[in-house]
Amino acid sequence: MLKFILKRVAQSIVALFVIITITFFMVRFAPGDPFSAERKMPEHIKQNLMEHYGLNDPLAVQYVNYLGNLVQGDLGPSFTETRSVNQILAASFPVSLELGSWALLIALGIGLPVGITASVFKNSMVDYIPMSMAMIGICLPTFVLGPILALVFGVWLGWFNVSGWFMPADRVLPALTIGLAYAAVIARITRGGMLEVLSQDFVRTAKAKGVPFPRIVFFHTLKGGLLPVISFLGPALAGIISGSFVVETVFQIPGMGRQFVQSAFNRDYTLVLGTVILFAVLITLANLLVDIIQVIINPRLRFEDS
Amino acid sequence: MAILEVKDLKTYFHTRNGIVRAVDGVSFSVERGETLGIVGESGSGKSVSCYSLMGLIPQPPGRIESGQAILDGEIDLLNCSEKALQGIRGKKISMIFQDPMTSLNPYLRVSTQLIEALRIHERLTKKEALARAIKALEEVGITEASTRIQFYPHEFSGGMRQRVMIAMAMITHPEILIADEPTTALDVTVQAQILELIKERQKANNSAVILITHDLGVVAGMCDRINVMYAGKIVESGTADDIFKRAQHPYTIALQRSIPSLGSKGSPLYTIPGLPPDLSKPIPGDAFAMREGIKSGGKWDQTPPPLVQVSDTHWVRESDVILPTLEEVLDVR
Amino acid sequence: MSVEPKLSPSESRLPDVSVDLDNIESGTSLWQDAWHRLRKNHMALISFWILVFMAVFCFVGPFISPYDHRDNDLEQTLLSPHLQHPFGTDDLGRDQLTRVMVGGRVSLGVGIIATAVSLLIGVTYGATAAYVGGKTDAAMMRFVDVLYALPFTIFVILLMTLFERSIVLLFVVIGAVEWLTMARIVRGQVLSLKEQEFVEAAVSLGYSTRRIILRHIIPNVLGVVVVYATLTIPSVMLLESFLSFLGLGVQPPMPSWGSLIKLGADNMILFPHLLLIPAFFFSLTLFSLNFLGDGLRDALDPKSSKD
Repeated sequence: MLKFILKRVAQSIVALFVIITITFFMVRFAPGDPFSAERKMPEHIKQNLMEHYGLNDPLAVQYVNYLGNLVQGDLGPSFTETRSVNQILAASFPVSLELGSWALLIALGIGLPVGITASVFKNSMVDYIPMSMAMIGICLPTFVLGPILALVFGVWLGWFNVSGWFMPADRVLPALTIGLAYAAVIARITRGGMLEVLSQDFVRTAKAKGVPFPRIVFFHTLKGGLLPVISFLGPALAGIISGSFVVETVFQIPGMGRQFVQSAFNRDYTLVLGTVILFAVLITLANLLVDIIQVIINPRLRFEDS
Repeated sequence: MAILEVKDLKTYFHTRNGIVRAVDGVSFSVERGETLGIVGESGSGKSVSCYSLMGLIPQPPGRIESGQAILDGEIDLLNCSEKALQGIRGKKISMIFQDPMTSLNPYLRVSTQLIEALRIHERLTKKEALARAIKALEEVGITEASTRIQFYPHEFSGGMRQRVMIAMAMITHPEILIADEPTTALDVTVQAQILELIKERQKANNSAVILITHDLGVVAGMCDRINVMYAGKIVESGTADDIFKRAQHPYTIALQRSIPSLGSKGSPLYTIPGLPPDLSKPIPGDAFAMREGIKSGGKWDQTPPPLVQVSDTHWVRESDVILPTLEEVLDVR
Repeated sequence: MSVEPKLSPSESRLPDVSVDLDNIESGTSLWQDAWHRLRKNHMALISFWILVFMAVFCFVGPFISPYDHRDNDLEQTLLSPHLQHPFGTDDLGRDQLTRVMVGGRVSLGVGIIATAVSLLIGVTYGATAAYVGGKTDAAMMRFVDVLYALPFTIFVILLMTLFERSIVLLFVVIGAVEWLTMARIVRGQVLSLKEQEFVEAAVSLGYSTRRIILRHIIPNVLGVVVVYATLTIPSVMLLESFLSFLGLGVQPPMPSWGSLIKLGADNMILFPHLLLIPAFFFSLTLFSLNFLGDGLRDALDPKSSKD
């Protein structure tokens, strides 16, 4: 098992490296430079700035320098602000982290129980109604749901602020926007996974042994039934991150998502790269964790490598 | 007194293609300690009748339309509460299934699965139950039981898994063991071992065994009495001797003719022409006579043929089917 | 052994191996069965008709409308729905009804074309990998796995931000994301078909490779492809709208439902109709596509979880 973990860690590092490299060169090859977005500046000033930031050096040199700094944890200076990238991210990361955590909590807290109940009471009202609602949830993308929630609960009912991240109540609408969509997906996946396991032969064996039904559901089938949800958590995190781009824009939240979009617009190379790296690390860690959990739960996977 | 007395069991499935009469009026009894074989093709109702006893039929679409199944003279399995049934399953009546690959929970260790019935029915402590479980494994021939008991099912081979199933079923010393095609999914070499094991465990526990199979060969060495089923009804019932030496129903005879014998290498095989019946359509008379390629005198085409007693132990359903000869079977092919 | 009893003689035979054997027993073939199941699925049927309506609305509608989606009319800005402008007007006085229609054309168009592109790439890639098998297959799927793990939305946003925003780039980017899933699915299907008994049976009966591929493999793969194509279209539309919402997709004055929603969101406090109407059309279309795709999947897969 240790071998498996080490292998996955190694793969993750390679993947990270690839992502960083691709992003680095993609950003550099794009037309324009960080200073064209600003008001027209005199050419000689621009040249000085380019020199100062090392932007006239050959790309390979810049790349190596960047990597060198990266390994020491320095993400470099921002081209559009006076703070360094590290400082900027240190401010916005906790915001996005909080938003994402709430969203995930909502998604699992609603999705799991709904999915399990639906599978146990298959084809009844408890199954049909939530699943139809879940279907709606899946089809309402964040950029549709967000503004509508803001309109209904923020403007018409006046329960919440439509923007900002100041009061605890400000967390509600944004987290719901992302969370509900994923609650819907998780409900469907859980239902599917549970149905699959509940139809297996060993459930019949357990029943024939006189095992009461609640125990069959929670002790015998839950582990297997939740496997698809667990493997979904990896992509779910990626989805929550992309959801944050929209939600942070709509609700004016000072998080990494909004920052990413803006910094890409502004061609702030280092900030873009820094943000991408942070995202990539998060996603990679999450995928790694998910894989490990899967192996723990499903004993059959443990022997696949040998 | 018989340990199990089944009277007029009818189990129908209400599907969108019609009502499938899987078990259509079946009565039989099982004595303590004896082995009863139930033989028939797929769809004959042999499994469904036993699943009905255990309450394992999905309802809907299945429904036990009528019947009684008195266990030990006390309780009617078909008309008692689910709670009562739960108490009986795994304790008084145990069941093992055909495919040991899928019948064990892959996510749980064998130890967990073995001690489960003990913890539920006998309220033993984990330690006590584990000790008994190890012993049970040793009794079914698994060596190094105390280490291997901690394995997961996929770490055992098919034959060993079936042994684990048997251990799991017998660990509570049930009065009846129902074995549904226990050897069908196993290698031929392992089949005989498993059957021997069942016999041995049965004797040790003084349990009755209901052995469900489509294979007459399996039944020959094992069973005291045999019920032959066709289209949801019993067509012949008797001791092993009765069935093998004095078979009277044409279906039983045809089954025996179809067994390839080891001696006649190269000679053509006898087969029963036609297909098993479509149970979603009502069958007014002798289902076997209605089979394509089977000729009959027509007496029982519209009236259900009755069961007739031939001797103390031997019952046969009336039938005037004329079995085709080997040549006639070959011609059609 | 399952508890289900045999239902009809035809089901106890081998699955259809050739046309001749089909006609002997009066069982139902896979397609007939699927069609039967689909017909009974009311939601899927309703979805189908909704989609037909949407197609007509978006593709034929603009020809009927008296307005052009680009016509500014600065005297008629931000009007609520009324007789002359049933969906109201936006901040430049443009007729919303026409713009929703044209927006739908763009969104649906991008959806269909990008799906077709990803389908082409995905099916070819997946089928080849499965058919060739062995090390080539393993390598090809490794490549897919690596790509799959990359955070695509991020790259997509990057690409669209950094380079010239053109519709071609949009197609390329979206197609590049979606073909992966299709490739995986097709490969899985072809692989499982290769090993299924009825293919072995056909081979042992001496059928030519061409006949096997045409009669047995393709019809079975077709089913899966149709289902996932139907489910890919809404996925693509989501991606395009997401980009347009962020200002990275289709450029004004060309509308797409995504950019219309963005405009609506910006003005929603005072003019909710600008948000709600495009949002409604967009969601309804997504909803119908998903339901239809689901219905198709359940209809074609006998072991569907609904039963």
